[in-house]
Formats: sequence, C-alpha cells, structure tokens
Amino acid sequence: MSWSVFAPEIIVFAVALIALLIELDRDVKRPWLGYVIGMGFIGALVADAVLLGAGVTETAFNGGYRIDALAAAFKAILLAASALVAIATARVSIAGAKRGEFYLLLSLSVLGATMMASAGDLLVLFLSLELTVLPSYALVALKRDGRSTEAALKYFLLGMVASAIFIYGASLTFGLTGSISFTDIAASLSRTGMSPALVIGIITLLAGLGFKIAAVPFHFWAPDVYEGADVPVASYLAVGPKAGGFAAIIRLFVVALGPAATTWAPLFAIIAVGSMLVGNLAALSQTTVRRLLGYSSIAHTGYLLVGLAVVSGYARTSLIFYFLVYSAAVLGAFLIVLAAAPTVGESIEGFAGLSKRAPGLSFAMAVFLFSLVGLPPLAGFIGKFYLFSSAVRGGMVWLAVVGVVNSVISFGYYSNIIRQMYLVKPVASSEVSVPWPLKATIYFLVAAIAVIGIYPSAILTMLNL
Amino acid sequence: MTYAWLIPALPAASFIILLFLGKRFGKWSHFVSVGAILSAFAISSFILYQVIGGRGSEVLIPWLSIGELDLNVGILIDRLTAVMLMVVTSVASLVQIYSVGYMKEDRRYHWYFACLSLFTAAMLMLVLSANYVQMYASWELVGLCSYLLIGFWFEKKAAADAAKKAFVTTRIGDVGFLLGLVVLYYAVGNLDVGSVLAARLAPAVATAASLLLFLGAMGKSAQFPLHVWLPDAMEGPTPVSALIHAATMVAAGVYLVARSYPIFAASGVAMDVVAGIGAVTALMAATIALVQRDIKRILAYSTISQLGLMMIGLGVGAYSAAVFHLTTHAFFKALLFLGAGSVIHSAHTQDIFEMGGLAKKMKGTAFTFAVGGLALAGFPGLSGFWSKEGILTAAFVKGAYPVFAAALLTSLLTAFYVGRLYFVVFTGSMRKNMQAKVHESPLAMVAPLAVLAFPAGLVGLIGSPLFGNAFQGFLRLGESGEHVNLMVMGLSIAVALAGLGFAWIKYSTGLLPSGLIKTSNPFFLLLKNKYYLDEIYTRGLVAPVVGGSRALFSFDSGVVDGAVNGTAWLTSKAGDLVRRAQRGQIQDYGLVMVLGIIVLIFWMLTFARL
Amino acid sequence: MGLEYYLALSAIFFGIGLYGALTRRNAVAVLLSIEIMLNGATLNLVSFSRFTPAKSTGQVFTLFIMAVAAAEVAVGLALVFALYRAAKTVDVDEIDMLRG
Repeated sequence: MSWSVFAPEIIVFAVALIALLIELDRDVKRPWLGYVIGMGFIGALVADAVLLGAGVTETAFNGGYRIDALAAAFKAILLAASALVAIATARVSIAGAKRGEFYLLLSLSVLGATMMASAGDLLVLFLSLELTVLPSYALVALKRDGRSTEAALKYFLLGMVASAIFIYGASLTFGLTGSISFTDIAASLSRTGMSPALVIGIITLLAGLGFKIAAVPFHFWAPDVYEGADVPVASYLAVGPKAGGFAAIIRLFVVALGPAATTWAPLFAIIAVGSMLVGNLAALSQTTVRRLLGYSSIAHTGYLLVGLAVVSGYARTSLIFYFLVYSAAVLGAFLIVLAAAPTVGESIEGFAGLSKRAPGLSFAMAVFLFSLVGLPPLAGFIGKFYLFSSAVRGGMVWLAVVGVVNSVISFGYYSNIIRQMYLVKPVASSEVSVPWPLKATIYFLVAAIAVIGIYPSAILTMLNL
Repeated sequence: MTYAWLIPALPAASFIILLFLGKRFGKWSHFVSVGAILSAFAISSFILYQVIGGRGSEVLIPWLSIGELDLNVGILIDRLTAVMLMVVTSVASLVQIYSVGYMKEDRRYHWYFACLSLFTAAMLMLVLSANYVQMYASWELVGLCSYLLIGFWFEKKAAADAAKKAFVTTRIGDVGFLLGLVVLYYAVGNLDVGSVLAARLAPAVATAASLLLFLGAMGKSAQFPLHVWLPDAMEGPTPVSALIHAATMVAAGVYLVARSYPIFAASGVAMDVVAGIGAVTALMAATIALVQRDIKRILAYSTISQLGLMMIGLGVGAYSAAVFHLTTHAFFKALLFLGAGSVIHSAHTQDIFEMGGLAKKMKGTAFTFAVGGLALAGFPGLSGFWSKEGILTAAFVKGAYPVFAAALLTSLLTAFYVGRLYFVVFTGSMRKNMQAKVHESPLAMVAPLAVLAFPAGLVGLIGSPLFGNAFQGFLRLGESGEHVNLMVMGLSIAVALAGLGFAWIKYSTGLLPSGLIKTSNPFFLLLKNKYYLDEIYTRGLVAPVVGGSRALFSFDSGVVDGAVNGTAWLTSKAGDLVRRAQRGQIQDYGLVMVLGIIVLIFWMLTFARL
Repeated sequence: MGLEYYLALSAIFFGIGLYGALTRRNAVAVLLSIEIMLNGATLNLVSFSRFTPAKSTGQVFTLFIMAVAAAEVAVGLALVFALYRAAKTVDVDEIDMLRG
C-alpha cells in the first residue's frame, strides 16, 4: 500500500488547513478564496480520477478503509460538486459569516463524505459520518439568524438521535457477528444466517444512514434545513452528505450484509416508494422554491433507492449514474436560487416572468427542472430510464410503474416554476445581475446535463461503470 | 439513405442558429427556418421517390451500452415514414411561409421561427425514430414545443392557461406511453422498433402494451376523454394551430398507433377499444362543432372528430385508409386553418356571426376555403371523400355496424357544420362595421392558400379507385385490398350532400325560421357547453388530486393526527408518549422516525424471509 | 452474570434516553437524553467486547464514540446558545418557524 492512494483525502485535508489558516486572519475580504478552495477540490478530483482510471483497488487499515471503483465514483461526483459550490460562491456574499469559516467547514464536511465513501468497517463509517455532519450543523447555523439557527438545531438534534440509533445498530451487529469489518460481517452472516436481533441491528443501521440521505420516514429535517440554511450551504447539503450516505449504504448493505439481501431488499422497496410519494405529494403545494427542492430531493432519494431494492450490479450502477445526474440538476437549481434570490426572492411567484428579466438563468433553470422530471433528451431521462429498466429487469415491474407515475406527479410542481418563468408576466423589470463565477458554474452544469443526456456513454466510461 | 438524418437535423440547426443569433437576424429570421424546412422537404421528396422504387432502410447505432442494457438510436425508413415525412415537411413549409406574413409585426419574430423549427424537427425525429425510446424523446419534445407555441402570446392569460392545459393533459397520455414501453421492454427485451414489431407477443401482453400506447396516442391525438386541450390550444397563433392540427402534434398519436399497428392487430380487444374510442370521439366532437361560434373552435372540434375517424379506421383494420385520411386531412385542415387565419387577420374577430359576406372582399380566401371545406365535408371527388370512403367501407365490410353508423352520422354532421361555417362567414350581407376594414390578405398569406388548395382538393385522387387505390396499395399491411362498395359510397355521397344542402337552406337562403333551434333547448345547451366535460374535470379530477396532496402535505406539518390514528393500538403508555410529543415540532419528527423504525422492525420480523 | 443482563441494561438506557429525547422540552435536557442513548449503545459495545472473542474492538469503538460525543456536545451547546440569543428561549417546542 502506498500513501498515494489517499491523495484525494490528503488534498481535501490540505484545503481545509488552508482555509483554517486564512480564517485566522479575520480582517481581509477575499473573493479569491473561493477559487483557491475550488482549485483544491479540483486537484483532489484529478487525483481521484487518476485512481479511478488506473482501476486501483486497495484495502488499508485492516480492511477499515477501501479504495475501489465504487468509492472513487462517489468521490468524483462529490468533489466535482464541492468544487462547483466553492467556485460559484466565490463572489457571492455569504451572509453573517466570514468567508473563511464557510470554506473551512465545507472542506471538513467534504473530507468526511469522501472518507464515508471509502469506509470498510463500522468504526470508520461512524467516524467519517460524524465528520461529515458535525461541520454541516455549523454550516447550517452560519447565517446566525432565527431561521438558520432553528434549522441547525433541528438538524442537529435529529441527527444526534439518528447517530445514536446508528451506533446502537452497529453495536448489535458487532455483537452478533463478532466483527466490525464489512467482509468479516459478511463471512459470519453467511455462516450463521439471520436472527431477529440482527434484523433490529440492520434496521437501526439503515435508520442512521437513511437520515443522511433524507429517506422517509427519516426525512423531516430536509425541507426545514434546505429552507433555513444559507443558500450556498443548502446547495452543498443537497449533494455532499447524500453522496457519502449512498456510498456507505451500498457498501454496508451490499458488502457486509450481502448474504441477507433477500431480507433487506424489500425494506428498500418500501422506503423507496414512501420517499417518492411523500416527497412528491408534499412538494405539490409548496410556495417557496427551496422548500420545494427540499421535498423534491426526498423524492429523488426514493428513486435512487430503487437501485438498492433491486439486487443486481446493474441496478447499483444505475444508482450511481442517477446520483450523478441528480446532483448536477439539483445543484444547478440551488445555484439558480442563489443567483436569483437577491433580486426576486425565493417564492415561486417571485420567479414570475423571469424569462424576460434573466433569459439565461430561466433557460438554465428549465433545463435543471426538466432533467429532474426526467424529460428527454436531458440527462435525467437517461438516468431514470436506466434506473427503472433495472427494476423491470429485476422482475419488479411494479416498482418501475410507481417510479414512472411519481415522475409524472413531480411534473406538476416543476412545471409550475417553469410556467411562472415563461408564461406569467413579470412583476418588476429590473435586470438580475449575477456574479460571473456563479453564472459560469450554472452554464457548466447546463452543458453537463445536455451532454450526459445526449451522449451518456462518455460519462459512463469516465466513471468506469 | 444515410443522409435522411439531415431531415430533422436541418430544422434543428435552424432552431439553434435562431436561438443564439435570432436577435441579429431579426426580420430576416424566416430565411433561416424556411430555408431549412424547404431543404428538408426536398430531401423527403427524394426519399419518397426512393422508397417507391422499393428501397427502405433501418440504420441503428448503439447509443448507450452499459452492462446488459443496450439502447440504440437510428433512423427507420419505410413506406409509412416516407409518407409521413412528405406530409410533415410540406405542410410545415407552407405554414412557415404563411407565418412570414401573419407574424410580421410580432416582437418575438425570431423566437417564433425558432420554436416552429424545433417543433418541426421534433416531429420529423419522431417519424424517423428506429427505437421507441428515441420516439418517446421526440414525443416529449413535440409536447414541449407545443407548450411554447400555444402559450406564445403568454401575456394573454387564456393563452398561458391553454398551454398549461395542453401540456398537462397530454402528460396523462404520456404516462400510458411510458408504461407501454415498460411492458414492451419487459416482454421483448429491447425497444428497437424493428424487433418489437417482429416479436410474437402473448395476447395478454399485446393487449396491455397496445392499450397503454393507445393512452399516449389519445393524449396527443385528442381522443375522448383526453381531447379537452385541443380546442383551448386555439389561443396560439393561427399558423401554429394549423401546424398542430394538420401535421405535427395530433398526427403523432395516429402515427404511433399506425407505427405499432402489428402490436394492436395482435389483440382483438385493443382494436375494438381503438375503434370504440374513435367512434365516440368522432361523434361527440362533431356534435359540439355544430353549435360553436368561434371559427377556430369549430375547426378544432372538427379536427378532433376527424382524428376519431382515423382511429376508427385503425381500429377496424383499415390501416392504409387511416393513414390515407391522415394525409388528406393534413392538407385540407391546414388549408382551412390558414384560411381562417386570413379571415381573422382581416376581420379582427373570431365569431362567425359577426362576419358575413366576406367572399366579396376576399375572393381568394373564400375560394380556397371552399375547396378545403368541401374536401372536409366529403364532397364527392375531393380528397376527404376518398379517404373517408375507405374507412367507412372497412367498417362496413368488417361488420362493425355501430361504429359504421357513428362514422356515417359524423359525416353528415361534418357536412352540416362545414356548410354552416362557410355560408355564415362568406355569404349573406356584410356587417356595416366590417365594410371598411375587410381586405384581402397579403400575398405571402394567400399564396400558400392557393398552393395548398391543390393537394387539399386533389391529393385524394391517388388513393381513389380511379387510380387503382395506389396510395393504399403502397402502404398495405396485411389487410385485404380495398373494394369499392357502391352502397357505402352512395350513402356517403348522400350524407355529404344532405348536410351541405341543409346548411345551405338554413344559413344562406333564410328559408327556415331562425328560431328553429331554441338556444334554451337542453340538448343545444349540452352541446354548447361541450357536454360539460371541462366542468367534470375540474370538479371530479383536479379537486380530489389537489385535496389529496393537501391531505398528504398536512401529514408532514401536523404529523400528529396521523401518528395518533396509526398508533391507536399501542399501549396507553405509548399513547401517552405520542400525546406528549405533539407539543414540539422537532420531537414530532423524531417520534415519527422512531415509529417508522418500529413499524419496519415489526414488518420485517413478521413477513420477511430471514 | 451473563451477557443478557448487560444487554438488557443497555436497552433500558437506550430507551430512557430516547424517551427523554422525544419528550423533554428543554434543549439542554434533550442533549443530555441523547447522551444517555449513546451510553446505552456504548455499554452494548463494551459488554459484547467482554463476552466475545473480538476482545478490544468494542472498547476502542467506545473510546471513539466518547470523543465524538464530546465534540457533538460542543456543537450542540453552541447551537442552543445561539438559539437563546436569537429567540430568547431554549424550549424546543417553541421553535417552529420552519414548517409545512
């Protein structure tokens, strides 16, 4: 084992240290800090891409840490998203906080999420999970007003409860299988089979991780936090912790609990259906864009979990691919809110006639939302097609049908925003001015979604799926 | 025939050029888009020539290949495609040329032509698709463009609402299409059109798949009960209506059924459903058209009715006759809409009873309108007569008498409302306030009318017995050859003449007292209110959905009630816990999390295989 | 004493903590209750460690949990403090600006 396989984590850690050092000097306004941090993440992304391209598979620390294609794919998505967040926010005012503080907490949380994707035993999983969420609690509270504090406290208290439940599950699993290493758990499980106590262990572990990915019934924090936190924070939260959470779920369930797949697969099916239904139905009657995106992200967790309810490599690949597609679109949508909110506010009605005031932004938003719906020829369509076709192949036609029907329901609230932007008269006519890094990031995401939609093979080869 | 990809690519390129450089082109935007569509038309003509010469092709290129999933895209050219390409490109070309005059003063001139180009490109891609997924993608794109074009004048609230209605209603159908694809994928294992149509499907699978696909077709082709969007879609610019009604949007549904015909043919049930829905639609829309006053709405209901007729044709197995009717209808309906546009352009009203005597001032428009109207009414010898004839004969020969009766009655009503429309608008005396402003439209608008009048009137001849039913012979797909049934032909001539004659007596000669039909007559009111279908939708469908989502939504904010109800069986201690937890939001959330875990554990321990 | 007694005790700890976390109104008390939940879980780990061949793993895990718990409490108390400054309350029932 060489240390070079840890290059992405080491670089992210270095980025965090830089942010910390700069933060010590409190008096300077630094628009360049975002670029530095963003470049750092891109460096980590390149390192990760090299590992991915070389097909490195390594196990470190007695199986506690794994570097493989699964980890590298999720890290790539996560690091790319974080780099975009950092660059997009470079010239945006981050309310109530010193810029350095934001980037410090961001990079620490990113570090945690990257480690989560590589976790090979329960202890590393727990530690990386905490490293992901602890800075994000602080991130949510960064704005220091009533709403963000409330959101942070909700996120924190519920997150703590979820963590405690997770540890309880981990302790049961450890006790019943005699190990915390994923491979040893799997070996022991195939020897002894399932027991009722282990069922409790599995479900409590799932609850702990389900909280991070905002799956029903552990989803309540998501809309509140997405609405209460500062927009840059919310845009990171919609992608970052989720990436880590999904990577960890795949690793924990497929590797460690793989022998019990027939037991947990139906569990994911239920949670998937519940998340889709709750997310989509609740989103229908929302009035602010961010809250709507919060519920929509719950619904997307539901779609993604289809990839676990169907037990096949094909389904898991489709999950990773859809996660990429989802991340690009949801990140884009949040960045649009970031760009537009100072001028038009965050209510859906505020977006009225945006196509006149900011044609570029409106077009980008339409692309993001249509991709989230899954309209061809955008990336979201291929992602959903891939995901639902895996359900059909796995013999779970009903799950695909539920997914399709839900996508159609979701169309109702996404199209409402588009209708506001394109078919309603603007209330004011002032131009929407957007800092150029933010604009560049948004257009980059539009291009990415179009390219992935039109030529998906390119990205699939890159991600080595 | 590898160059066929140029056909959709040219209008698509025009869209992209106009999207980015449109402002610079300004008033010259139409050169880009008209040039593109005319080139596409030229290529389509050449392809038709080659296909008549016996060539066809299917090009598939792998697009997405990962694991076990192979998705191809490609271009499929056969006789159906060649015919459709001709219809779409020719009508679209004329509509675009016509728009040059019609939209001259619009502020968003370039954006209009950009949308029109994209709309056409999507439809052409749909027709050429060699894979159902690709077809679905184009299908959605067609829907999206119609949304943009119907709502083009979004400052008008009605236009914005109509656009939304069109989009949402057709989405209901799209679910069917998508689910149909799920079924086909499950049964066949891939979605290439060639292999799906060649697959031998079990009857149950064929029924399920075809009914789901038909649901999609019902949305796009405005079949009862999903037809409600089409009349409202009149809020768009008139050339757009012409395009939607003749060549693009509504033709997509019929095309889908025609393309998937082997799947439908494998299921008797599906065929009967198609014919039945077609019959209901045809008759219902024709009756509604009788009492409308808005010139474009009359034409809109007439489109719905004619689409119903096409579905009848497909349902009774007259595949080629149905496609033939689609073709002839495209031409004469485009002509009628463009004619109506010309009338509206000069009269500045859409109410036919505010017009009258326009023929004197607008000779060209009136003449071409008459050609289109007579073709629609099934006047012997003109296009509509021959194509309608094929459908009626097939229904009669097959012994589907109720459907046949419905189709015949529809023809009678059609002839009547066409006569009413023409006589009220063009004959009689002109209103005072009209005299000054009415004028013939500019050449750019009248020329396409004149050009369209020829195919509208005469294209039917290529499918008539006079030419040995050449059109049907070209398309034939496992159906017996057409044989002229003199009785059916006689009946159809009789109803066409009767309808037109009665309209003439009623609206032109004034022989009948005007109070013959009382407007308070309940039947009249029923028709006038379009069978109250819109109201039924609003109250019966939209309200419960909104209510349902509200209900589920309140679950999230006031989890309490749900939690209380759901856990009534828990011990009093747990009940106490729930009640206490009602006080604070965070703890409600936490409580539901914990209850969720408990429910999952119970469920797993009870039902799951350990 | 057998393993069952330890497990039962830890389950009771966990349950009491959970009950407290879901019912106490004072944010600090909720925080305390969550600590009790964590103690239940760690007790599980330690006792499994004692009674199974994998000797030290559970104990090491416990040490890490204690460290993380300390960090969490620091964040938590800071948040409660911020809440008090913003809303003049530490009562979790009274913060419901964000809902729906």
